Amino acid sequence: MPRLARSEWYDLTRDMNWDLTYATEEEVFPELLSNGFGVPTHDWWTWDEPYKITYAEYVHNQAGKDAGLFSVNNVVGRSKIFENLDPGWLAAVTAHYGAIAVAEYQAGIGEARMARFGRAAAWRNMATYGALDETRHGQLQTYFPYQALNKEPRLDWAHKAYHTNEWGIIASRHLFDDMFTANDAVSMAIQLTFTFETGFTNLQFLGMAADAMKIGDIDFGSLIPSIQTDEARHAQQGEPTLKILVAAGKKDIAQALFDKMFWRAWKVFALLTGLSMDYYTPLAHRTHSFKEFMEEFINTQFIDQFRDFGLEPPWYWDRLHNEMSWVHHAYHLGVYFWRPTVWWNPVAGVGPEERAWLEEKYPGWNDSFGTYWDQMGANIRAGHPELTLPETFPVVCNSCQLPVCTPAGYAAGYLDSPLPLQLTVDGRLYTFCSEPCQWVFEQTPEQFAGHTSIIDRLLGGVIQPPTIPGALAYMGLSPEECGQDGTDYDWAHATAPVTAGPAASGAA
Amino acid sequence: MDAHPKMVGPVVRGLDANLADAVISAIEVDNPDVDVLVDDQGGYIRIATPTRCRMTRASLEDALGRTFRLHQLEPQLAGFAGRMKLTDDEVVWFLERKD
Repeated sequence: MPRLARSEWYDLTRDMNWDLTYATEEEVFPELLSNGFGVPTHDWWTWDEPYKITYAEYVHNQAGKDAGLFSVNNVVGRSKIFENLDPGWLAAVTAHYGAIAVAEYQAGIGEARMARFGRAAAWRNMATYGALDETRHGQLQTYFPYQALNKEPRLDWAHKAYHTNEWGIIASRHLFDDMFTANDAVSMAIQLTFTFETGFTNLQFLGMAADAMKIGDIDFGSLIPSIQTDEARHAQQGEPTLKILVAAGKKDIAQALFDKMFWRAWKVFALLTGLSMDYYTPLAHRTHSFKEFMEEFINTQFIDQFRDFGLEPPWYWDRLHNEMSWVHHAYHLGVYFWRPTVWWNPVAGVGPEERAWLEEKYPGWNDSFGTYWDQMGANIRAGHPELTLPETFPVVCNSCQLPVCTPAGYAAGYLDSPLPLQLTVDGRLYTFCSEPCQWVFEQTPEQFAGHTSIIDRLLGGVIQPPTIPGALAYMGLSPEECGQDGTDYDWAHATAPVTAGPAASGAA
Repeated sequence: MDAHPKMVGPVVRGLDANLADAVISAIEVDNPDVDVLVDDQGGYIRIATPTRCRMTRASLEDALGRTFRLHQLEPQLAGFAGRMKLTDDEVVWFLERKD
């Protein structure tokens, strides 16, 4: 019997749409779970995925991916690779697992919601693969670090992080709840699969993979691009959804959904990937700067793709470019200074050669951000490392939940004012780090009204006692888990001050 | 927007060197009039041509010396630039907007 080409039967197997007769549209697709934005039902049925795969092919591919991955993992488990990892790379990997592993598992909830509430059968089929993918990612990224717990107990945070109120996790949860855990299926296709997965995940998962292979961390270097092959497929739920919205005259809705999540994703990746690429990855193995990666993967590859549907770069494009030059340098200063509040051991990454690299990639770095490090280095050499540790807290933004770094941006010459933005709604004062963050909040203030930032909680008496130790306990960090300088201050003794700088007073 | 050339094409993992080399060869064969960009970053290899990048199953099989169905690319396809259309016989990465 001749074998049919896949294209001759594919549509039949995955496209079982039907008209509803004994239930209403709203009952089957409640707006809260699947906002159709007024697009007619039969328009949704034109949903056609650009990346086609059958269930049998899916299972075959996934089994092969895991077989390849676990053969590497088995070899690495018996080697000394982990023990020999550079402390900076260990910081990057430990931060990655805590920030990503359980979030991937939660993304499976989002994919499962699209697998039920996506508005076309073809879409629900793709989302079913997506739910299986994200379950795989959650399991892999808790299992791989679990194997190394006897070598680095902090890897426990791969599982623990999202069960705590650690500040970076509050920020990530705030983002991911908005993006998928508490999002409707249609908005999610634009915001999770298109904006986040087609765009931003490449930064962390391909960018870090290139570095991992050069460093010799073949376990991590095999794991994350294997995950990205799943993402490259299920991210394609975004394009057909976007095309249907645009064809139905809903371009403005698509643009607004995109603009909101693009900015939100930027902030968290500036923190996670920005620090990992420009400070934690050992200098000899860095491929590109974080800014160069943003230019390649986001500002060129991703925006070209986005514009192909008739949409435009977000309104805050200038501010994005502005922040690409400085905001993650400010975040790095903050994370280092407040290092007891993170679950990894940050390295400073500012020895003489690293500073030369930073100055080359970010002209002006030495005379701006470098001066804070001069002061911290001087304090350490004078035998006062306690002066490089916090006694108070920074203000955090009520939108991105990350520290407000406008004073550092102003001092470095990138902003016209050191002041944050503030807004009073229903008698409550909200603080924002930037215009786009305030704009994100103003799109749906009622959605965010019930959320308090970690600083709101401190000032509101939720965190007791309202001290650094009290806050660390609130964040789930025992003294043994609190981050410490990953190189035991080697950097301070390797460097010579370039200029006398201002006191490290926590301006970051 | 700046007027950069819009490059499209696959980003493949570097782990399977045979397949990566075959993808590069096939794309060179299937896009005869353009320069094919190959940017090998170790962990990933970016292969790209301006605006439209075609790769046929026939060329890929020639380069590999064995039968290969295009869905089998996935375990090595870590990403791609442009939009993608996958059929039984070819995969095309493309962008349509002119400005």
